[in-house]
This record gives sequence, structure tokens and C-alpha cells, in this order.
Amino acid sequence: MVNPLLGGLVRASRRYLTRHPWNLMLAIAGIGLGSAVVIAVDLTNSSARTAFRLSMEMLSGTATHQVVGGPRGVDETVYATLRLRPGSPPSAPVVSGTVTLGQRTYTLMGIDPLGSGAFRGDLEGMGDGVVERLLVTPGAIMMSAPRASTLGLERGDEVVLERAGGAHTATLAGTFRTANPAARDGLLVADIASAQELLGRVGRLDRIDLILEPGEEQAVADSLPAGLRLTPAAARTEAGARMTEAFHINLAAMSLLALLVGAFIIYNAMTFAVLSRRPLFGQLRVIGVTRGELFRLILGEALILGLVGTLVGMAGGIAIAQGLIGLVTRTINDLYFSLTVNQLLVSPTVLAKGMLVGLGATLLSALLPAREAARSEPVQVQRRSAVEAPMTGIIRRLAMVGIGLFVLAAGLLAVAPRALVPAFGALFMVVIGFSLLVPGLLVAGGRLLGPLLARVHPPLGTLALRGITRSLSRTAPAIAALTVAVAGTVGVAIMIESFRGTVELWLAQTLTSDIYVSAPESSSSRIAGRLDPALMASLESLPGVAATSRGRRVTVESEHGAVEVLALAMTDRGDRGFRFKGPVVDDLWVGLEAGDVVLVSEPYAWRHGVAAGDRLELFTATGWRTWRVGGVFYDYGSDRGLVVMHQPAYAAAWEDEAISALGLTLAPGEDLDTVMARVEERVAATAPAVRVRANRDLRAYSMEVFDRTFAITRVLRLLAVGVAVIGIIGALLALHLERSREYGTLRAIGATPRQMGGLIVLQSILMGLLAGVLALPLGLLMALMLIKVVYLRAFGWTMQTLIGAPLLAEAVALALGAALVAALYPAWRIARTPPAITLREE
Amino acid sequence: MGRLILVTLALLLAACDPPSPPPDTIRVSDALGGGDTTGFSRALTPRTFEFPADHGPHPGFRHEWWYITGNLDAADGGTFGYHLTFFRIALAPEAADRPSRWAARQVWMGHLALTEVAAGRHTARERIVREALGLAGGEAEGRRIWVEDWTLARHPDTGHWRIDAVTDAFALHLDLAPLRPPVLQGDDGLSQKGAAPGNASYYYSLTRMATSGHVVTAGDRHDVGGLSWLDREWSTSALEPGQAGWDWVSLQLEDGTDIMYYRLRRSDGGVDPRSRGVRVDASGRRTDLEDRDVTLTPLDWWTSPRGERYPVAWEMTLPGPGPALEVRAVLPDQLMDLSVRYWEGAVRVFDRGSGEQLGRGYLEMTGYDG
Repeated sequence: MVNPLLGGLVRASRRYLTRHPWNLMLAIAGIGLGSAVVIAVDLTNSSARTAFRLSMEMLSGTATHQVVGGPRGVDETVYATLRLRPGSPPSAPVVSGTVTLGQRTYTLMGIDPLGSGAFRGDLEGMGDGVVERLLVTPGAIMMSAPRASTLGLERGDEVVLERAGGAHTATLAGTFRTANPAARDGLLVADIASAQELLGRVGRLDRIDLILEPGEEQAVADSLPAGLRLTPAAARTEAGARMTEAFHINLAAMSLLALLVGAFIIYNAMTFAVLSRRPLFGQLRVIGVTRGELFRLILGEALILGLVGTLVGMAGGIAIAQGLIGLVTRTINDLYFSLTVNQLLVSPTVLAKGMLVGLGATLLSALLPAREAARSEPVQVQRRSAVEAPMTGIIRRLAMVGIGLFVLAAGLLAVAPRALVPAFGALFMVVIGFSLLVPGLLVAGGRLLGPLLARVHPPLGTLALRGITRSLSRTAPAIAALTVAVAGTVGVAIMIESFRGTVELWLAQTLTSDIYVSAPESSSSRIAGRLDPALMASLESLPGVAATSRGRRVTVESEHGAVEVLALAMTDRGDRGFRFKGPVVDDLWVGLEAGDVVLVSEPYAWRHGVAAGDRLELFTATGWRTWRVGGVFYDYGSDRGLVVMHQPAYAAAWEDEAISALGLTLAPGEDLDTVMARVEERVAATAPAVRVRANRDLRAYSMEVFDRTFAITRVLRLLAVGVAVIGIIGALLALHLERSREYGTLRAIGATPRQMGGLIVLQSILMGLLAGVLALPLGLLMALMLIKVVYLRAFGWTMQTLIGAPLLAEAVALALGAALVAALYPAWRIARTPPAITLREE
Repeated sequence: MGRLILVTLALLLAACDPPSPPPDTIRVSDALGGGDTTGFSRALTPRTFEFPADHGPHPGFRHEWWYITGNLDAADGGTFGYHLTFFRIALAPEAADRPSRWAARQVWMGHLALTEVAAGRHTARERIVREALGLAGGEAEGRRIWVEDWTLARHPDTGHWRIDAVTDAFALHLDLAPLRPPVLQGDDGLSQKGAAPGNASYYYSLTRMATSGHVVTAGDRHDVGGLSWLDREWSTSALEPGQAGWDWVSLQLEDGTDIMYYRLRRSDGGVDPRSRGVRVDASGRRTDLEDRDVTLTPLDWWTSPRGERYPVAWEMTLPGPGPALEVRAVLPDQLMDLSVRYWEGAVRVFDRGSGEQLGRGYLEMTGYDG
């Protein structure tokens, strides 16, 4: 049953769209940018996740289980004992660490090429004499064939590998082939002897890989000496994936904000497309086109726009993602672990998902305009008020829905007090709810501003304001879009500033020494570096040094998986640099020194639901041991959490006397640079790889990492504003071009082109101002939700809320600036149009 | 001779799984070819063997092996063939001087196989391990030769050899009591394999060792008894270009005669005149066997899954009055499909004319993999 008018409908539709190219372009740009941001972030996240998975697969090979030890790794003789036991399962020793070759970081993995067949089936090419060279030649390494050719290396060439402990010469013994891109780009393979020597790990293994049949676990676990543990290989991957999950969710939420802004633009464009064709729709109804057909016509148009827009979004998304991936992997490398893949993996699934999200948002945004079109009566209804009249009723309904969303958000937070995704859900409800209040707020704002403007410039001011409040169907979504975008930047900026300020304060409180000396360590290894005792003694006795503190930062196994432990030998000092959240046990300091009390950081306490007085199990050199949690301290160094204990207690429990960092406090009146020079001189003489940093440098470095972490957030924020600017340009254009007749009349009765331009600019300023002012409460609300709910849930960090006045002024200025930019073209166009034309168009 | 299986090149493919060896399996003749012999000792002239000292390793030579084969009867009625070899391969003549204890110059390879005759099953396992951290090695006088949990240990007082080797599929726990003094092969133990001086090995055998102990298969313990044979050989280079492989037999006849014979095959299809063997009768009288004294004629062939054809039954004639022998595999598929591929299996020896079983032994065939 095809309506014969359908062809005509489609033609009318096409003609409309081609005659209003700017409307078309803006709608496409809105959908395109919105979905581009979503696709970009999704691609980046999925690439980072894939990179992580591939890196883990690269490291674990086909092993089902791993024997892992404490901070010092696994003694190599344990492997020999395991192998010599009759009937032991397949196992392989592994030493691994991070090295730098040229500008890139690689994982150097030491394996036993003789017995690794079952474990390293993913690496092909161990033939042709390579194994023999790996065994016999000190420093012989393999890399992937593509990497070798990229670096222009051939077999027998020498390369310099740098690691935290110094530089070593290695020889390319051969190349391997692999299907794993992580291994292709970031893996160097060496014999275990060479790896131990290159990584400074003689005598130790990082782990022992095992291939176990079901049911064999217990026997192997029971046979291990105290201090070693058997873990499923997948457990490490899962733990690593969990670490970064909050980070990924945050990025995804930021990208959805951009899409939300994009949806407003689509709504705006489609509304305009409907309103400007009101007369046409009326005529169509007269000649028999049904409401349903009009409804579908508008949805069809939206679908086409959505398709084109999301296609543009795909291309844009891939381009943006190329830029984002570097930021994301750098953040992950800074905060979590070394990823050796940093290229973008364009997944068709992600693209398809992004397309669906973009199309869905387009169709949803077009629903209201489509319904509007379907309402067209078969009479010529051309008066604007006929369209605007229902708006006043709608305003109230929208406001009710908005308030309903607020209530729902509050309820959601109460029902799910810990989960992250509901927190984001609530955040979005608040944002959408607030934007539904925007029309009502505009009407109220108009009433407030009206008398004021009438006094400032009676005809123009009033005209400008009425232009906004009388065309709410158009201006409200535009202002809402700008409001949401600006509020997003306000919220995120306050959150970042608060976080930054909190971290700065925390650093100042925590870093109490003047000079820090730390042993080299590689980030990917669980094995911590150590300082030479003779060097420490010599530094501690330097003139000018009043007090010292020794620390050991290691990774150990806890009942909750791997956890970082900081063992401190603290000089006696009142506050000891800790600020506690909530109560502490009575015998805190005594217990700490006695070695049966530990402190846990806030993220640890949040993640594992631990509080002062609770028990905590850690896997020591002699097996599981229980500690009492003395208190929860604020710490922003790691979102995985940190356990602090007394260093002598640690040394006894893990049979590890080593110290990885030394803090030196200067005697009063001593000059920092003088003492620094003395320290550096001693360090350079004995252990050049050891790092010496002044308190201020360490703080600066920490803040640098902090800022790097949020670089991507800033980029996403700007993208959201970019989408909003496009939205407001569209809205203004629609507004002004639609009013051409009105403007023509104004010109005809004597308004100058300059005055006309002024009217438009004033109107834009008003819109920007309204958006800017409305963005402040929403932005603050978003900031509070981000700080008090989202970040607390994601990372377990309590932050102080720091609201800077400049930031708020900046937000209003941003909204005004965006509105002004958007006013330029319409103002120019109107001012330039002779009145006769606009009138003749009537 | 033995069994010049392998060697150095075996390492190349060690990273591959036994179930799926690489398409380019090592050719034995390549493995035992020359290479750089600088710094290694050579088998140039006959030497004086000293026992038990010579039961231990000779690390100055590139290759060395302890090669044990045997046929066992179980008290519960089954029969087994078994084969356990320890190969020592020196990667470089001088010892490594490096900080890491994993740095090694000696690599050991263990091959272990069990033939379960009634079940028609032949299972082979391989271990390749460096001499480091006590993972593998050889002690003086053969007091302990081991690759991880596979060990061969000669008791210094009794002179008995003890085998303990466990795999995921089966286990051997055997005591081997030599019934004869060592038999020096070739020219007083110097076994010339190629034309050039030094392309030779030092080679002796313990041809008849009373064996007792138990075999474990699928969790079942079988008490067993039978005869085993130990070949000891060390060299730095042996085969030369033009030599394709060999057929080797060790036969223990019920009348007390032990026979070893290897035939070196040339790549042109001919037989190398340096093929050698020895026959020792019950009284200990030895007869050296040369190429012109012995005929070996294939009777039956077995085709491997890869399409390689192995003769698994032979007619063998020896000088002197005795009957022609028929040497027949207890199971056609006793292929050692490991880093180095060769056929090594238990055989029965029959009177070719009457069909009467005269004894048992082992057959090894290399160089059939193209």
C-alpha cells in the first residue's frame, strides 16, 4: 500500500534539505562530532584494553599457572628443585624487565629456549642456530623480524639496551615471528642467563610458568617452599584489567557527554526542519498525507542525516582516536604498567557500536520534532505562535520530568552506594534533568532580565530578549546544549582543580624529607631495586644531614591480590606525614613499631572494605601472616592502594633487609643545593644509576604526571565545547534566518544594517550569558557528583572541593565567547541583506 | 656404534613441541658432521680405556652418550622394550665465565621410550636441559648421569646401574647388573666413521646386563626382568658428507651370543666400507664384523605418517656356520618423533629357516627422513 504521494514527499524532503544546506551541514556536524568523540574514546579504550591483553598474553605465553614470590622474586634454585622432583609438571623459568632501546621501551624476557617449546609456541623462528647463540653468546637477544627491519638491524648487530641500572650491549642473535602485535612491537627475548645479566637479576627469577592439568594445582602448591605461591595465570591478567577499568569508564562517560551535546544539536536541527516547513506540511495534510507518513518522513530524514553524520563521525573518531591513544597509553604507563603496544586498533565492532549509538541518539532527538510535524493540521498554520503556544504547556511537563530525573538520580545513588556505573547514570540523569529545566529557567530569566533590558536599550533589548523567550522551541535546546557543554567543562575543571589541590597538599604533607635517593627499578617488574648499604651509610653521615628515613616499596601478595607495601623506617617525628580518615586503633604507633599493625591507604580501604581494627592477611616469606589495620590514611599515590608497615617488621617477615629509597632531612640552616651536590657526588662515584631528587623536584615531577593523566580529560572537554559551539551557531542561524521577514520589516521601518547586526549580536550575548549562568549551578552539581561520588567510587579518593572564582568567570566567558563566535555569520548576513529581498520572500 | 643420533642441530629445534616437530627436521648426518672442531679433543688414535673412569663424561669432546636399550618380561605376562639415552652436547669447548649460573656450555638431551608389545603402544619423551643449577649433568665414573628427574646411576661398589625415569605416561625403575666386561668396539675402542683422521669416536658397550625392577604404565606397576645393553660413545666429529645414515642392531641371543653391527649408508645408495660390528659368544670370544662379512636385506617395510619408509624386518647373515637371522620389530611403529627423528625399537630374532626365536635386541635406523 504505497501512497502515490510518497514520491512527492521524498522530493519535497530532498528539496528542503538541499535548499537549507547550512542546517543540513550543522546537523551532520553535530551528529558527526558527537559520535566521533564517542567512537574515538571507545576505540582508544578498546585499543588500550587489547594492548593490555596482548601484553599479558605475550608475558604469560601458554602457561596456566605461575609460581610467584615476594618482593625479591623467586630463587632460581627453586626451579631446579621443582624440575628434579620425579614426575613434576611442565614448567619454565622467566626473568623479565623493561629496557629501552633507542626511543622505545621493550619488555626483555629471559626464557629457557631449550625447554620453552610448550610455553612459547607463540614465538616462531627459534631455529637456524639461534638457540645455540642465545645460550653461548652473553647478551644475545632476539626481536621480531618486523622490528629488526624497522630498526635496520641484522643478525650479529650490536645494540645498547638501557635499563634503570645502566646501559648494556646486546647482540641480535636472530629474529622471531609472532602473531601477537604486543610481542612484535615490544618484546625482546633472551636466554635466561643473558636476561639475568642484562637486568641485574643474577640468581633470581621473576616467576616460574607452569602448565598444569586440572587437579594438579594442590600438589604443586603444597610442594612450594614458604614464601612462594601458585597463582592461575589468568588471575594476573584479570587483576590488571580491573586496575584500569575505572579509568576506562571515566573516559567513556566523558565521551557520552559529548554525544549528549550532539543530541541537542540534532534535536535543534530537526525542530527547525519541521518548523520551517509547517506551511508545506499543512498543504500536504490537505492533499491527503497522513500524520503517520509525516512522522515517518521526519524520522526518515533524521535517519539519513544520522547515517551521514555517523559516517563522518567514524572518520573523525578514528582521527581523534589517533591523537588520544598516545595520551591514554602514556597515562596507563605512568600509573599502571608498561604497555608495549600503542597503536590504534580499529575494531569493526567498536565502529558498529558507535554508529548504532549515533543513530540511536539521532532518532531519539528527532522523535519530538517528528511528532510535532505529525501534528500539523490540514490548514495553513503559519503563525509562529501556533507553534510556540504548546511550548508553554510543554515547559511545565519538561520541568516535571527534569525534577523527576533528579529524584531518580538521588534514589539510584542511595540504592547502589558503591558501584561506579550507577554513579555515572545518576550524573547523566542530573545533566539531562537540568537541561529539561532550561526552558522554564529561560522564561523565568526573561522575566527578570526584561525590565533591566528595557531600561538599557528599550527597543533593541526588548526585541532581543523576546526573540529568545518567544522561540523557546529553538532557543531552549541551543542554550541547553551550550549549558551542558559549559557545565561539563566547569564540573570537570573543578574536579581536576580540587583533585590537583588535594594532591599538592598531600605531597607537601607526605614528602617531609628534603632530598630523596632511590634505587633504580623497572616498572613492569615486581622485583624492587635496592640501595647499597655502604652508600646509605655514607649518605646518612654527610655533613648537613640531620635526619633520615629509609623506605622499601615492594609488591606482595595479599588476600586481595597483589598489593603495594611501603615499609618505612621512620625517624621519630610527631605526625609522620600521615593524615588519617576516621578512627585509628589506640596503640597505633606502638603496634606499628612492634610490627603487628599496618596502615592502609584510603583506596585500599575503599576497594577491599577494610577499616581500622580489621585483619589483613599478607603472604610473607614464611607463608600467610595476619596484621591488624591500625588506620586508614589519605594517599593519592596509587589507586590500587598501599599498605604501610614498619620497615624492621617488613624485613623480618619477608627476609628482605634491602632499602629502595632514602629520605634525607637537612639540618636547620643548611643550604639544599650544597648538600644536594654532596649527595650527588657520592652517588655518582659508586652507583650512577641511583636517582637523587630534591623534594621540590619530586613534587614537580608528581604534578607533571598528574597533569599528564588529565591531559586526555582536557581534550575531551574541549571537544564537548566544540560540539556546543556548532550547536549554538546552528540555533542562531535558524533563529535569525527564520526571522528574516521580521528583520526585513525592521529594516523597512528604518533600522540600519549596523543596528540589525547589533540586535543579533545582543541576542547571542544574551543566549551565551543565560547558558553561562545556567551552566554554573549545573557545573557545580556535576563537580560535586564527580568528586563526592564518581571519583570516590572509581578510585576511593576523598578530595577536598576547591572552587576557584576565576574558573566560574571563565565558564561564563566561554559561553559568551562561543555565542559570539556563533553570531558572527548570521549578523553579517542579516546586516548585508537588502530589506526588499526579505520582504519579497513573503 | 650407535647411535650417532643428533646432535648439535638438535638444539635448533628444541623449542618445538614433540607432538608437532618442524617440517625441517634435523638430518642426523648434518648433526654429526664436522663444524668447528677447534678447541675440542679428537678421536685420532686408540686409547687405553680405564674403568670405571670412562663410564663418566669426557667433556673435552663435543658429543657423548649413554645409550641403553632392553627387552623386559613382566611377571604378569606382558613384554616391554625400553630405550633411555643421555646425550651430552658441548656448545663450546671452554667453560663459560659469566655471572649467571644459567650460563652453560654443556647441554644434555634425554630420550626415553617404552614399547608395550601387547598394547601395541610405543611412547617416546624428550628432555633438553642445560648443565646448570644441577638440572642435568654427569658425575665421574657414571655415578650419576641425569637430565632433570631421569637418572642413570652406576653404583661404585657393585657396578650395577640404576635407572629411575618418570614421565607423564610411564615410569622405569630398573637395576642393571653387567654380566660381561666392557666390549671395545672398532679398533680397540676407536671407531672410525669417516675417511679423515679424527672423524671417529671412542666406543665401548656393556652388551649384556641382567635387568630387574618395575615399570609403571597408566598407574599399574609391572615387576619386570630381562636384558639390557649399554652403548657408550664420545666424539667431536664423525660422519662425513656423502654418508646418509645407518642401520644398527644390538642382538642378545639366548645361547649367550651378543651381536652389534652398524651399516653406514651412503647418500648414493651404497654401503660405506667403514660399516662395522662385533660378535661375542657365550665364552667371551669376539669376532669383528666388517662390511663384506655381513648382509642385511629388508623383508618388510613400515610407512610413517609422514610417508617415510622404514624396513622393520631384516634378513641378516653373519660369517660362520650359524643360521641366517630374521630380525623383526615387535611393533612396526617405534618411531622416535622428537627433535631428531629416527626409528628405534625392540626386535625379536628368529632362525630365518626354522622360524624358531633365537633372541631379542634393538634396531635403530636413521637417515630415512630424506
